[in-house]
Amino acid sequence: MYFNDKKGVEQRTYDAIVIGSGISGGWAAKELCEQGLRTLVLERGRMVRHVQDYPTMFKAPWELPYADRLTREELKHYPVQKRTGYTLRQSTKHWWVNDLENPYTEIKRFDWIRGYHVGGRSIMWGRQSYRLSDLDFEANLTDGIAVDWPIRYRDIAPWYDYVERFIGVSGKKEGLPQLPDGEFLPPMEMNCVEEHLRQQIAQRYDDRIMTIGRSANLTRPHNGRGQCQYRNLCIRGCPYGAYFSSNASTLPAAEATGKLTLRPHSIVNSIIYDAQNNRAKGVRVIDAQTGQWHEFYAKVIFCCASTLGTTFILLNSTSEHFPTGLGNSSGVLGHYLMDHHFMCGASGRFDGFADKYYKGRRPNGIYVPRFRNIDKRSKRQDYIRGFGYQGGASRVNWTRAIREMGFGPKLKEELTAPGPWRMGLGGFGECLPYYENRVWLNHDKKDKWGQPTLVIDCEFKTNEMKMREDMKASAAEMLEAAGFKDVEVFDEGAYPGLAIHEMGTARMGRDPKTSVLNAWNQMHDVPNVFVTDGACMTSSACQNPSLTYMALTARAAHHAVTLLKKGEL
Amino acid sequence: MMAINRRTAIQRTALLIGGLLSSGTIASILEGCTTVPADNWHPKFFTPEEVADMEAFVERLIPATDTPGARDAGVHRFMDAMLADVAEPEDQQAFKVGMEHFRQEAVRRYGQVFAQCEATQQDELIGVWEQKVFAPNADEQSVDVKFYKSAKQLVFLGFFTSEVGATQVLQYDPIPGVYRGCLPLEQVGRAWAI
Repeated sequence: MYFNDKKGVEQRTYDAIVIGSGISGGWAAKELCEQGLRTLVLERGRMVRHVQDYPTMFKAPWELPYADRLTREELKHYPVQKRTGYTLRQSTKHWWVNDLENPYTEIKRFDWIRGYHVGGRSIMWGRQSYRLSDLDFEANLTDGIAVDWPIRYRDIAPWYDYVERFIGVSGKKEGLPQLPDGEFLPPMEMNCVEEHLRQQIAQRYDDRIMTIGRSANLTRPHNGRGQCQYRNLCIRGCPYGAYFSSNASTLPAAEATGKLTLRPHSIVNSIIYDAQNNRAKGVRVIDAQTGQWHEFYAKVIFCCASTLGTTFILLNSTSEHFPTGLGNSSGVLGHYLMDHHFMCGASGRFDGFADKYYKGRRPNGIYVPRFRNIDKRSKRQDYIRGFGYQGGASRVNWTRAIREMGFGPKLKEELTAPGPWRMGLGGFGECLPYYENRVWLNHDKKDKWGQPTLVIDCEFKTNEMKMREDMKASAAEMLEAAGFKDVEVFDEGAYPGLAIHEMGTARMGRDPKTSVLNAWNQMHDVPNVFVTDGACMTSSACQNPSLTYMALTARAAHHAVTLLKKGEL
Repeated sequence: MMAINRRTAIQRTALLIGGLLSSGTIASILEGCTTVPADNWHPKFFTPEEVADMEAFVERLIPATDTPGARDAGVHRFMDAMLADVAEPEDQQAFKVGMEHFRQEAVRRYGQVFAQCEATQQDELIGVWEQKVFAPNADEQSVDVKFYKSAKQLVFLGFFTSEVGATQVLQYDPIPGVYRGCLPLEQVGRAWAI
């Protein structure tokens, strides 16, 4: 698994190079290795071994200093990473980049939340796993926006099956056309109040349902990995391998083939273009430990460095033939940046079920699939596309003491009982692809390796803002209809990047003049380069996107091997 | 339900995950359970006099009853660490000034520092601050309100994330193993710490 720096082009030549080891890179590595390709995975960050490199996985609350908060001094390194408000903790701080060492420029606020290490954000992801449908793949064509996706649901459906069978997704089949069912492990339970809301929605609405979240957490042992223990500490890394990550799943599968070489501390600077053959012939790498530059060569290159990571590499891969970036004859590379908009919805108190409680910490919530603009009846006049709700109910804990009067033995006794039930619903909304939402390279501001840095200019616009009004109003309406009390809407503001679903800057399309990638995630311009991370997305849909990246990656990897065997790469 | 301590929990976990953890890794994790640091603690934010008053203060907010209280949990030390290392300078400043008002009021009313007052006097003074701070027209910008609210927040946060608060007053299950969404409350028992 570890790289020995040997001299000579031959020793630095592989069948395939995968840039990045996260959700997409792990899948590319697994599929390419399993099909017999000697594959080099380049990861810019440090090594993270499954289980043994999860330093906080067993820490109890009292074993973490400062009640898991970061100190003032520590926070100085994370001016961007801290913006989520929930991901940066003593127990997780090793997973996030030091912002001071990884600068970029924000024309408007854009929260670039990332971690540089083997496994990438597959360690910290939210695990919600939803399929896109033809409602999504046809959306741009229907609305006359951006360009049409070059694929339809039938093209990707078998790959969703394939990916779900390997990673394990728990969930419930609901038979909805806009949110296709998958190959599910048994669903997790709803609690009393969630089940109450589910029944109320079923009784009162004929245009929507509520279901348990579809989550890449194992509800029974699966493919040699253990089942979820309901600790809800996934983000620290799971000792049971009970949720999907590259480290627990795809990278071990790739390694088992004997074909994998994983090289951490390897920052890909650019892809080397061979104009004579119109092929990429390899990559230029900066060794993050030694500062030395290396070149590695392969017949096929998979870009899985994250949406903005991949886009940086392509923009920085200039040549006489591609002066504005590799594969950018269309000029759309770096444009159409999207993210989901969220942190917006409603919550309320439920006064029933005072004699009921739960056991276990479920690492999953509920989901209300999209119900707006899915047919004529649900068509909105004020915005296009739609949103889904995620949320959950719980009983308020000891924190209620802080906001109210009282102290002493009586309060202490009261706090040994759980507080009232509360339920929240928060929307995740689709963002349209806008040409002017884009990234480019700043050659005046260099990183510590002397590389240019990214400039990001991105904002949500009128369609997203109108949708947010409905996200709030509809959540409040459902909660009130179901008997919740003191229902309040919330809107924490919409800043792109914050949903950590950034995508779209090297989009797929049918026409090489208006897109970077074809229907197989293959560059129109340079056929042995594939981009299968979020950069490939033609529209954002409103579903959490990682499952789609995995399915597209597996599909593209099989296609690449087919082409290789035919001698067409 | 069966109580389960952390050592048992880790050993059970080790069995579940079999060969994934080396015995050395297990040993190093278990070692963490037995280490008791020597007590040479010194406050970083409070003066020794302030620590004495705050130690008495936290114990009145969450006193020892048939279960341990905030003093047993070392909540005054937690407050000191949070105020020294986590709080922003302007919040530190407001806390110091607000705390000084509170401490001086004890001396003015009862003729001695807060720590030396009778428990009933301490409770009375805390009650005065509670009335002031949670009044509908309370000035959120005043140092008195800022001090008391952040002190109260730190006391409850420190106590219920401490081992005694989480495991003896509330309940904490390191490895639930299952999720059951709708059980009779009496079957579950006390509120969960997390």
